[in-house]
Amino acid sequence: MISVSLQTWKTDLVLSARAPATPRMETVLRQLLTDEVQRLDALASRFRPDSELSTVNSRAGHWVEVSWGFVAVLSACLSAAERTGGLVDPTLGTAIKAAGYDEWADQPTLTAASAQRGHWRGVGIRPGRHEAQVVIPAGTALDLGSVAKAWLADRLAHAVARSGYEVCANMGGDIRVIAQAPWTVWADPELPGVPAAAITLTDAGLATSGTGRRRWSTGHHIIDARTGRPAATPWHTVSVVAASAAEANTAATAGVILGGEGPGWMTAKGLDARFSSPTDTITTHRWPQEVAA
Amino acid sequence: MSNPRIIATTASAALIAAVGAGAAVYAVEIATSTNDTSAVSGTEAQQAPALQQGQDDSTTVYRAPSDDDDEADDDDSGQQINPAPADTQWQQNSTTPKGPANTSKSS
Repeated sequence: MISVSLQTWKTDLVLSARAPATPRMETVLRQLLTDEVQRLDALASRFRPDSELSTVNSRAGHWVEVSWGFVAVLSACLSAAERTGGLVDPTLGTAIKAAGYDEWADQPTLTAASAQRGHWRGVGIRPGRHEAQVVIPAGTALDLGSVAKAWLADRLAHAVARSGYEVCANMGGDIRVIAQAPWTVWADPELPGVPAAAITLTDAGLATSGTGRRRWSTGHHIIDARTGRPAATPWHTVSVVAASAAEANTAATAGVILGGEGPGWMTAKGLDARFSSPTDTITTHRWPQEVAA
Repeated sequence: MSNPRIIATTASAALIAAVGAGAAVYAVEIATSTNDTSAVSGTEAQQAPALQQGQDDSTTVYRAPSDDDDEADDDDSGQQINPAPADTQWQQNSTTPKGPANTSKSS
């Protein structure tokens, strides 16, 4: 077993493989992780003025040339929107900034509370002169942070697995495992006294969304696309196991946003989830209640 | 729901298929940029198989923007969130150490 890690985006990114723990292997894994993180940052960071996302946001209402890489991340986020009926919406950049999440800072800058609903259906993608072009509705801004780390976990896991190694990619809590033998991962409800659940995966994703982190006095970073404001939810965390990290992340975020309706929504979709609050724990489908208790 | 506007595409080897009943989305299989150049030189004794970088190999979706914001959102669009495989198991009293490498927390 070998693991390499990187601290960025105010979280820990860890790439592990069932491979010989040689300096050579460590170098290769670390290079892969670093390269992919830097690439995603250049594509989709809301906090880098030179990212492709910043260029698209600065020209909202106009078609903008982008790379296939940017289209891949954006398509994953639009897929999340479609899978959740728009609950998880990538066009909430203005709303999340208005809610106070303006920088990678512990105390985000408070800005005007001009809440704005999501408009993901207004995003267009078409062939470009070189690669592709994207348009977002005027007055909106993209924020791909909800899905991007999970998308990266899936991408890294596939890259390592293609080389013949069993792999676990953990991008700040968005986990993707591709392995022959079961790989144990943990879902932490982040509540005092409530144990983490141990889950064994072979080819699946695990993600946890919650309101405890990236939180400030005026709200938190999970925006309800229906209102354009931080989701009013009883759940501290929602953890979901699904076929991929991106799908698990999408469902977990939707579960937070849906609040009291979340467990029913998750049950209807046949998804394994745990909803945790300081006073209550609800599990769905195969997620055993006794593990969560 | 408004009628979707189809974007003409000249992508070669295009596999055009409507995805998602009622969705203004058209999928086009395209040639993707595949970065497969992460090989790092080393001695035979040290050599580990080179890892490929990630690939933008998901089907790229061209889509026409819709300004129909009043359209009722629903999640009955054809794209579903796929559950984990049947071999997923929850363990009691696992002895595997819990650490950042294998723990899902919110972020």
